[in-house]
This record gives sequence, C-alpha cells and structure tokens, in this order.
Amino acid sequence: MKKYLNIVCLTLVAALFAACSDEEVLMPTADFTVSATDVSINQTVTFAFTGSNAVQAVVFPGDAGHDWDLVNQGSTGLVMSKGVATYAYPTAGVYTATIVATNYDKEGRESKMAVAKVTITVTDDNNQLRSVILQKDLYNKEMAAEIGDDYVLVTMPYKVRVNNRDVAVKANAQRLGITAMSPNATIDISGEPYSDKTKYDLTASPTIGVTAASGLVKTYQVYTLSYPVFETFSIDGVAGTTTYSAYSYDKTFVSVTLPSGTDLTRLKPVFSSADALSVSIDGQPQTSGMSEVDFSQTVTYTLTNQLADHPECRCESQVVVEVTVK
Amino acid sequence: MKRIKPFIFCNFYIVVAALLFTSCSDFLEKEVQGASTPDSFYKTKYELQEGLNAVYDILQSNQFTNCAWIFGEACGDDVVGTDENGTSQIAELVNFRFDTSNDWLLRRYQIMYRGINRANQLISHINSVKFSSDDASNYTTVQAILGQAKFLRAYFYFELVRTFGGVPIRPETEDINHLTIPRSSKEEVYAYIEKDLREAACMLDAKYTDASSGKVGCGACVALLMKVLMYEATPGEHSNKWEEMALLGDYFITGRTLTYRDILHLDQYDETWDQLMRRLWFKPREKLLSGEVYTTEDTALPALANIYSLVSKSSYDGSTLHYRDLYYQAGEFCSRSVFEIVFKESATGKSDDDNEGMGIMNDLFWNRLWASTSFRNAVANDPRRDVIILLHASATFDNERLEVPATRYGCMKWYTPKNERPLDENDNAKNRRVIIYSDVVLMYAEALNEVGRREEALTQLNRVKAVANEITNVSTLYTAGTYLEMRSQIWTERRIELCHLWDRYFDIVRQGRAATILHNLASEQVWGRGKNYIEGIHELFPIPQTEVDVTNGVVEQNPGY
Repeated sequence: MKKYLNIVCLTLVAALFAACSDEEVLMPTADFTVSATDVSINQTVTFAFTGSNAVQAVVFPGDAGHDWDLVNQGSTGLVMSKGVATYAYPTAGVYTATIVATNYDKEGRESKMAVAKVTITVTDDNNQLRSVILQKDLYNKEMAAEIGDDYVLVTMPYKVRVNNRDVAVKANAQRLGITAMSPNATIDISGEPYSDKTKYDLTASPTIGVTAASGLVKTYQVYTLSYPVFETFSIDGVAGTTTYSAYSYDKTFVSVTLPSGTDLTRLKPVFSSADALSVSIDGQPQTSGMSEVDFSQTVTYTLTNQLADHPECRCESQVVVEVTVK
Repeated sequence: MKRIKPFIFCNFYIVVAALLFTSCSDFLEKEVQGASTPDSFYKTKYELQEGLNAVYDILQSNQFTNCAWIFGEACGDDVVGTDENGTSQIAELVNFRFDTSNDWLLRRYQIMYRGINRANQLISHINSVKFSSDDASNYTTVQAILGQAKFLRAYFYFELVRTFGGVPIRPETEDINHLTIPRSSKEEVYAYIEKDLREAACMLDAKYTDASSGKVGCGACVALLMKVLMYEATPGEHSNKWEEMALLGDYFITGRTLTYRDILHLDQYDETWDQLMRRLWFKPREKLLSGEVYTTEDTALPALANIYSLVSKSSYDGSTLHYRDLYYQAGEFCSRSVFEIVFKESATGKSDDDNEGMGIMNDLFWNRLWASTSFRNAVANDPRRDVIILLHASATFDNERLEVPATRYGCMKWYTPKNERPLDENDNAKNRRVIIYSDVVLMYAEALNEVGRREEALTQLNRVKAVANEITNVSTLYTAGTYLEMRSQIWTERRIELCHLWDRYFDIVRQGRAATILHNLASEQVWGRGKNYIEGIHELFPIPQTEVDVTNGVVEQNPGY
C-alpha cells in the first residue's frame, strides 16, 4: 500500500515539472533606471531593474570591491531580489555601474546574460566644520567652540581653577582640535596647513579654511570673547576677593568680609568690569555705587558680553557674591 | 522498512497539499478541537503567565544573545576578535563593510519583532482573563504580568530604535489585511517606549525576590527609562530629557519621593484617571473592600534607594560579595543587579536547548573575543584591571591556568568559575547582567553634569570609583572639573565599569564619538577594523533588505545605504 502511494506521488510531482523542462532559455535584456547619476558621497542611489526574461539581476556599483570587470578577482555585486537595490558611494570618483541580467534553465544547463552600464559621478564637496575644541593645554581642560555659518566663536575665561589655584589662560597660544564633516576635507589656519600640535594665537583673528575633496573652499573667521568678571568689587571700601569655579568656566565667586555690626540688607557695592555690557541681578540692571542690594544671602550677578560688530556672538557669566561679617 | 518512512510521509504531505489546493469541500474547515488560538487562550491568570514566559523566552534565545554581543560588543573598541579577519557575515558587519542583506541585520530585526509580537498578543488579550473571586491578589497578579510585558516590549523596541532608527510600530492586534506598516519616526518610537516604561514602573513591585527573582520590577523600568532618555538626549545640548533623568536619579538613588503623576506625564493622556487605573489593572474603585486603598495621582512609587547598592549584597543570604561576584552565580539577583536575563541549566547533557544559552558566553570567552590594546591601556592603572581582564597563562582567582590563546587577554566577566560549572559542560547556565546599579549611578551623574549640578555629579561618579578602589585599597578619585572634563571623566568610568556587558558600541554612538574612536582602533590590527566607519552614516544600521523588499519599499531604507 505504501509503495503504491509512493509511486503515485512521484508521478504526480514529475508531471508537475515535466512541462517546463524543455523550454528554451530566452535572451534577457538588462534595462534599468537609476535615481541619479550625479551624487555626493554617501548619498543613496537607487537602481531599479526594468529589463525582461531575467531570473536574476545583479548591480555592480563599480567602486572598489564592486567592479564588474574584476568579478573574477573577488568583486561582488548586490542582488536585486525585488528588482531594486540601493547603494551609497563612500569615496568621490567617476564609476561605471553595471547591471547584469541572467536567465538560465532549472537544470542549469544553459544560461544567457545581458549587461548594461551607466556612468555615475560622485563628488565630495562637503566643506563644513564639525567641531572645534581648545585642546587640553588649559591645564588638562577642554573647551568647545561654537560654530556659526561663517565664523567660529571661542569663549574663554581669563583664568581656570586647577588644584585650588586660579591659573591664567593664554589665548595667544592654544592648540586646536578641529574636525571637518567630511574625512576627505583638508583644513588650514590662515592659509597654513593645520596641525593639532601647533599653538595658535587666537587673539590675532585667524581664519579656519576647509577645502572639500572637490576643491571647494569655505572660510570661517575665528572670534574670541571673554567671560566677563568683576575686575574690582567693593562694599563700603572693603575689596572683595575673586576665585574661579572649578566646575564652570562662566562662574566666579566674590567674597567680602565687612566689620561686625554691618547691616547686610541695604548695601551699595562699587564694581567694575571691562567686558560686561550689562550687569543684572534676577533681570534687574545694576549700577555701580547706586543700586541697593540685600546681601543677607548670597547674590548672583549676571554679566553679559558681546562682539560689537557681531551681536550674535555673545556670552553670559555668573558672579556669586557672598558677604559675611567678622 | 522503518528507514524509508520519512520519505513516504514526505510524499503523503505532497498529496495532502495537492488536495488542499484543489478541493473546495468544507470538511477541512472544521474547527480543530483542543488547540489553542489567541482568542481561546489567555482566559486564566496561569495562561497569562505562560504567555509572559513566552515573551521572556525570546531573551534566552541564541538568536537574541548572539545579536546582542555582535552588535553591542564586537562592533565596539573594547575587544578584538577572531571573527574580524575574514569574509564571514560577522566580519563584514563588525568591519562596517556589510551590505543591506547581511544576515545579522535581519536576525536582530527579526528577533526583536518576534518578542514584540508575543508581548502584543499577551497585552491585547489581557482583558479576557476571568477570576473566580474579586480578591485583590488576582488584580496584582495580572497587573504584574501586564507590567512585565510592557517592559519587555519597550526593551525590544529600544534595541530596534538604537540599531536601526525609527522602525514600524506594530499594532497590538495584527490585521491580516494590513501587515505592511511604514516606519515611524525615531521620536514616535521613543515616545511609545517611554509610555510603556512609565506605566510599567507604576504596576510592578520595586524588585522581585526569592522564587520570583529575575522578574523585572519597578527598578528595572526606571533604570531602562533613564537609559532611553539618555539615548534621546544629545550630550552638550540642553534638553528636558536630561532634566527628567536627573529627577529619576534623585528618586532612584537619593530617595526623593516620586509620584504617579510625576512619572506618567498625565497631560499626554486622553483617559480619565479611573480609566487609566482600570486599563493598568489596578483594582477598580467600586470593587474595593474596606481597608483597601485606591491609587491616586499622588501615590508615591515604591522606594528604590534602599534596595540597590554599589556594594553587592547576596540575594541568597545578604552577605557582602566581592566586586567580581556580581558577574558570577554568587551575584545573581544581588543588590547591584537591576535587570538580568535568567538562564537555566537543563541538566540534559546536551547543548540543544536554547534557554540554557550561555554556551555562547563560554565560546566568546575561550574562542572569540579578547580585550583590545586600547581597552588594556584604559584600565592599565585601574584597581579593577585584574578582575576584568587576565593575560593568557595567568592564574585566575580560583587558581586555574587561563588557557586563552597566547598573548590574549580574556574578558573575565564572561568567565565561569570552577565551582559554578555544570557537571556536563553543555548544560550551561549563567545569567546575563543587562543593567547593573553602577550604570544607573553613572547615568545619574551624566545627567547631573548636563543640567549643571556638577558637584553632585562628581559625588555620584566617585561613589562608583570608591567601591572599585576597595579591590586593591587605592584612593585615587576623580576631580572637580567643568562640563567637558566631568563628562570625559564619566565616560572614562563608564567604559571601565560597564565594560564587556555588550553595550559599549551603542554607548559610543550615543556619545557621538563612534567614528573617532573606531578610526583610532583601526591601527590596532593589520586588517584595521574601524577604518571603514563613515561618520553620519554608520551610526544607524540599514533596515534589512528583505524588509524593504517584502513591503515593496513602504519601509524605507536609512540614508547612505
């Protein structure tokens, strides 16, 4: 019984396939469309197969490792399983993309192949800056610069706090860590090749130039700005002492010790700041020697600074004032 | 005769198949008796538990585990591996010269959706459960099951979104006519994950212990929520994600009270409080007996600060464990472990059972991945060095000569101590720690630094370091610094403290420095793994090609592929 069933089954299956076995293998055509032939690096290119009579279509994008001419030396292509393949070229250049359409019979006795080609030009004209960092020369401290449309703004404190001491920052000798958006771009500082070892004078208004692989150049002007501080701060003739915060570049502390018995609630501090365009407490403008302040608790002043000809380049700092009595 | 039986059956099936396609009579359409369908299942809380077990089961599968180390560890810079040099699918992936049809992309995508599908079936049928009594414990049981399912669904989506970017959000009830779902944006997927985690945190006990050890609790939900927020936020950019992380850390670590209102973000809900409570399986107000309390918006979440600690306390006897024990059996479910994947010894003497799984970890340890030179340099002066990595032929802490290949450094978190090895080496069981408490503390420190609470950030950072210092009795701590220095110190500590937990690659991507780090790594090996990494492209892997194909392009490819 089982044997009989077996024979029936095999006949049935054989009959199903028999009809197809003697068909002629037709010549395929390798037509296709491509979404763009002029692209930037890493931009997706879509290949869509529109040919006919192909059991399989493969696209060879034409760059290293994907070259149809080198298929016997290990180059590979992308199989278009639903007639569509996407690819993005990582390097600039002119490439010949090849679509290979193949048709073969089920037994693999006969196969026919058609090939179509297209030239794709890949350019790399990205000349944007990614980041600019003042490297660790600031006594093992780092600082990120702000990148604008055509400028780089470096905001620096006058001093940084290291091991409980305030150390002056040298704005005229800074190592820079600069990276461009494209790894293929080259960077120069005021026309000289950039090096992360060289110390640059940031006060001399240098420029950062980024040249894309295509030769397109973009220049960024470097501006510097200082976090404003009180150069002098005194109450009733008693000068305060300033220390810098170990946690923030934009924060300083001023402490003033007044004679015992002083009423701390109504004092008029006298202060000066070379950089501050405005001085305020909780949004209220303060005038040196005029404004009355309650110092029974610590008071935080906000000082602002901006570049006269580039008002978009601005910064803000905090001065925390603590007044005690002897 | 017996031998040809399969052949006959095979033919028999062809005949049946032929009948299926030709016959139109309805005798084949009769309902199958005794089989479970989604609509007949999930009727009792025991069946719900089985449904939940099926979701957990995904975490134990080899496919899930393999994808976890390949993407999370082998792509990163803490290890070098034997798989890198060659033309295997793993080699192409970790060298970033894969194409969109790479098998591992599909495997990772698939296994997450398999988990999501199982969770969705359970969540969409949770209301078909019937009770014999209105006992409050019945509600608690169902609520705990629903909460865990939500956590797991969120975890699967999180793995997807950090690998592929925005992905399709599957409807809880699948419609056979609308199986093709386009990708949601990254933000939408993150919002979906957050909602699940926020709700799950309200539904679960702080931490499950004893016989329930290994079930995710409120602590795991809050920890994962913090992690999700951290991946949404960008370092250096002000964001309410950082603010909320700091708030959640205040609750998790320093014990500040957090209410349901705080964590749920109620303004985003269309439901009334009663409707929400009913959906989340709190016992309805009208069914409460005297003495039972209704949960309000102002109810506080369970306290977590006293449950977890940086010093590991054993879950079995409460004793203080060595730093290294966290990664071994002695440290299972200990006070330093927040979320771990449980593996069981099958005791069959065979390696065929997926759920014993950790043969993979043995294989990684002995044959596949070694500490990279870059990692060895990073830990050179750290008290944890000898606990984390060990050179070939050195003696292990349990006096074994370490037979990893010559000149290689083994990653000791994957080591199985002698006294924990099963009788048969194929019966492996070694729980995988996914989130540990020091990760939570370091996430908290990072958020504190981002929101400008730097003194506190330094305190938290040094708490983690101080515990590590006890290993060799040193006292080097991190120092005060401004934003970038604090951040770089926290990231240094993250690398060492959380190393080899299969998370490093995604961490450096999140930090925005994967390209820099991997390009530096390229000089380590002659074949230069890392050199092909393209900044701005490879931070997201491509959607698997078959997914783009079967949806006829409705699921769109990521840019650059």
